[in-house]
Amino acid sequence: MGKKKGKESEEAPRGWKDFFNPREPIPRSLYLALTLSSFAFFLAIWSILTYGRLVDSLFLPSPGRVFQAGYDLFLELGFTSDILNSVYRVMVGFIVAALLGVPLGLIMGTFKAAEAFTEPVVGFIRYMPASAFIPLFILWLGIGDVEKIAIIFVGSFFQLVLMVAVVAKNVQKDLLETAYTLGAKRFQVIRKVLLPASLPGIVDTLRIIVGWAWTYIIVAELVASASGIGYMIISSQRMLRTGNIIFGILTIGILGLITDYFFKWLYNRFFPWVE
Amino acid sequence: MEEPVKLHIHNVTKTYRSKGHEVLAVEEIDLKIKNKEFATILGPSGCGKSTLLRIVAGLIKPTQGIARLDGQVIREPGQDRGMVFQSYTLFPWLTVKENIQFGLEISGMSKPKQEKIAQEFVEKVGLKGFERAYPKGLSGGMKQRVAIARALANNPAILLLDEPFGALDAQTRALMQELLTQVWEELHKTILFVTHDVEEAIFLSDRVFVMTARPGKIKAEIDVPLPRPRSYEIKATEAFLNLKKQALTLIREEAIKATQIEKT
Repeated sequence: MGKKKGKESEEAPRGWKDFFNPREPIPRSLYLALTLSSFAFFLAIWSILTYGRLVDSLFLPSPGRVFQAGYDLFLELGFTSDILNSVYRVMVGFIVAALLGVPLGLIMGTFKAAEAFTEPVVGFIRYMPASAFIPLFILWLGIGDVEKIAIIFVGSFFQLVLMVAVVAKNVQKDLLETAYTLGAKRFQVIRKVLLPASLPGIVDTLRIIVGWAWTYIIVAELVASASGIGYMIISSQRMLRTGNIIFGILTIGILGLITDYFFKWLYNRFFPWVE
Repeated sequence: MEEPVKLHIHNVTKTYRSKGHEVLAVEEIDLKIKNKEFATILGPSGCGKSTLLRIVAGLIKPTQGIARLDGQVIREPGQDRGMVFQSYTLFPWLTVKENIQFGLEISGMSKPKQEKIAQEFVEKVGLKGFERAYPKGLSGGMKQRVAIARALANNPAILLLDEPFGALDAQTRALMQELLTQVWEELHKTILFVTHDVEEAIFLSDRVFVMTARPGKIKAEIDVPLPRPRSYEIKATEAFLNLKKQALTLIREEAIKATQIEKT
């Protein structure tokens, strides 16, 4: 129905003023053009500032220089292994957080007793910034992968637990009652109703959390590190290689985008029934 | 031949706490529903008629009194009491057919048998061709058809319907009433139906119990001796209109009281 509506308005005569109607759909072609031009817009400003010599290239190198820096990074400075190191840390930290956090969150959202017991502690720790744990974790765990992974874990786990608990809590009570009247016992209701009803919300939560995990890894790698994207960025700063820094930031953006699309794909692939 | 009592609601009272106050939802309700009877509880909104139905379903416990189905005291929900809710309660991750099979699967029935029964009920409620559709693609009326089929597929001793057509538009509603009458005339299940719609109550039922405004009590009982099978045309007959008038007068008094309760 939504699609049809969009098509109708595409064919309808349009005046300049129509584009200011709140939430009104705009033609697909225009939408696509605007999307592409947003990237072009930033690239244009960047080019004007740099190629026009309005800004010192030490502070902001031109697009061409940044891509040259990227080329060198990959071919000469082993940037691939930095990326793999960061991806490895993020994934291990995130997966461990998810493996423990999703079940705990579900239990918290399902049983009031579990909620009463865990929510105060989790809710408290959640407000402690993960980056503040770095000095402590260096003391406890050293400066290797374990410490970086622990930062990711702390940053993701507590948020994840609370968000999954909310997802489970929001499952329509009517659905649970319906299952009871169809003869389901308590654990059947959990397994056959609560769990499948929560899954889309869980995947969506994981998508958001993995984005945060990417920001924590960089912070973790900026301090006491010998590899990773964050390490490359901080060591480039010491050598005033601004191009490398910018390329590193862009790389993180792209990696984040890829994980985001992966989760979106997962969502659409496995939950075609979501309204 | 007089049918035996199927459901006996015996002196049931339900109070609950709301904002520190004790609220009396239903008070000393005594009802006997006969086997194979289509009985309706008709009452103004907020009179506790849904509360009563949920007690029969076993979803809530009465403060006083008991409900018995076939002589057995009702303590918890069970497969012998199928329920259809006003809100749409299809499991959105299951297709139409899988929804109907839900209760059968729970009871451990073999897959081929489940499929056969589900298919039978898909056809009974007129949803052939929609077996593999997800609920999101269905209209409100179709969703409620599936919900009815799902409850019936379990072969319950009694079917409980809590304003199942309350969210539907007038035309769909009328069609659903006809569908339900047809299904009932075919299967002859005992049905306890709850509604605030007078015409709906008369059209569907053998007996209508009119409830008072809160606290809900049984105010009157109306026998509906209209012939069956019934079609929509019966709604224009004099006998129907007389019954409707009788029920309307009773329910109007209560509706007025209900608005006064809300004001206080």
